[in-house]
Amino acid sequence: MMKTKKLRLAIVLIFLTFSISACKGSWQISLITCDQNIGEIKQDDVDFYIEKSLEEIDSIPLGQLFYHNNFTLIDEIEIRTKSGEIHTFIWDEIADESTIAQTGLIQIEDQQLEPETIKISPSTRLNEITYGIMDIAPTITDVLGLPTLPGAQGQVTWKAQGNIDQAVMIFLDGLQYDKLLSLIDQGNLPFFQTLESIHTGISVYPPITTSASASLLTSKLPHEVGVFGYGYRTTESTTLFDLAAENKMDIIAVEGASLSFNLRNAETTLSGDRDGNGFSDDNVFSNSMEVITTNLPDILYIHFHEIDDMGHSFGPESDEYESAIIRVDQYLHEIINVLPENTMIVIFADHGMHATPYGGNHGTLTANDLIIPIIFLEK
Amino acid sequence: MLKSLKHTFKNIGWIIILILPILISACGGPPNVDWELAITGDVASPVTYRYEELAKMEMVDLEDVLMEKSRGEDEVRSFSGVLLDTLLEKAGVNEGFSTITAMAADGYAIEISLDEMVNGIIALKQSNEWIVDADPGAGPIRLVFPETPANRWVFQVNEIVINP
Repeated sequence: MMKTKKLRLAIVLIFLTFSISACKGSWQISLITCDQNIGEIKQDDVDFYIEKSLEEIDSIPLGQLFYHNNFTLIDEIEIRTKSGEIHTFIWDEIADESTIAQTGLIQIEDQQLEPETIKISPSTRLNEITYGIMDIAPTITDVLGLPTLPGAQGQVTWKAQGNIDQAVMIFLDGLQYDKLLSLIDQGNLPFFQTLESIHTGISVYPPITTSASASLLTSKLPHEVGVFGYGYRTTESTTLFDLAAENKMDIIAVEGASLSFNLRNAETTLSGDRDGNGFSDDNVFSNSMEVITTNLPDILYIHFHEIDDMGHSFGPESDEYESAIIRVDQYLHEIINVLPENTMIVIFADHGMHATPYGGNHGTLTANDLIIPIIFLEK
Repeated sequence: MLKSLKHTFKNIGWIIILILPILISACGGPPNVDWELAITGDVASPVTYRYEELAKMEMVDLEDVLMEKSRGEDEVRSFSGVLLDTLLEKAGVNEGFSTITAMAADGYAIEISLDEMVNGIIALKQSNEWIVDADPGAGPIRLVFPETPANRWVFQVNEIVINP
């Protein structure tokens, strides 16, 4: 009799345990576009990104979950709560201040909502996008006759007219696409004005240097190569530089005052402010010119940092930000003048910049941060 | 009487067993960490310090350091560690060097100017806790420059190169 009671109790306990664990991770929020359900935000996904964060957080940006569901540029979102209320937001206005917690609650500025569905209106600017940052490495491997990067998601987007002996990658950190076009329109950038086409490209989420560098070099999404955001500075996946080194090519990287991402297999030179003039791009420029004129490798990687630095400190509408772009325009003119024939040149940014009350920042799922210029040239 | 005494001793024994780990952690000896920091470049004699050597050196405390962050709220934290100047002196750094390059185990590197280096330390403790415990994944030592924004500090530093 006692045995039967114990057995019943055990069965009830096991059932309860299963029920509780089954409840965990059960919430989900439907994502709707054009009246079609095209994805959902699940608790497991929120848990995943929280677990991968190197910071102690209990919520993550809503933009991360939209990107997880293949959204990039968004105009508007409409949140229908479980109580039936509808809240509509211009996405750019709240992208920086909207998070989702493990409980499924969404915090938008000081408002807390319990959503049932989110209707997303993609941005019309999506039609402008022609290239992605993940296209750059496959295009370089194709032009240099290297094997395809394993698992590359980008496309070969440009072909050279003639033979190419070397590739030069020029990385303009934090150059906002719209600001570049506006300075060209104002006649402030003589070098960029000469270019036939500046492609409208898109970076990856989060649009920050480490994640974008990972995708630039591997042609894969950041989370697929173990770079989940701030603090991740290296990847185990095969990079363009790994592939080039395996194929006996030499790679030189001229960096600014810091190396943002692990550039293994590249011989790297840092260009800190050794002359004490308060700038580092002049040192990046002089170190690059020295490499080009004395020892041009198969792949030269040049990373100008100051546009980003000025953007953070003063904002993308500041004179300081514009001046940094104007200085780089002059450096590009001189670099391309001294490069030899049969050189492929790709000029690109890793992310853009948006204004904040204290200057500027990036890292949100917005056009200002995600849209980047990508330029292919042949000399 | 004897039985009651025995019982009391048994209880005390259990209490000691329970609080022993707390007492040990409160003692706060350096953790057993396999880590090295090399000082190389424009020096008389390049030197490599093992973690336990650094942990035995004289430490300075930096109280209430403002960590200016490039994103998120600024924070105030306290650090303890070995003065960078002391380590450079021991390596016989040549006078008139221009900058240092700090390299991290994950491939990160940064060039630091003399102005930024003022009062810099190789921090082994944060808020009186050994960093290996306080900051999982960030490595057991951290280059901290109290006068410079925190995005110029370096986690997991394993080599400092002196640039002429």
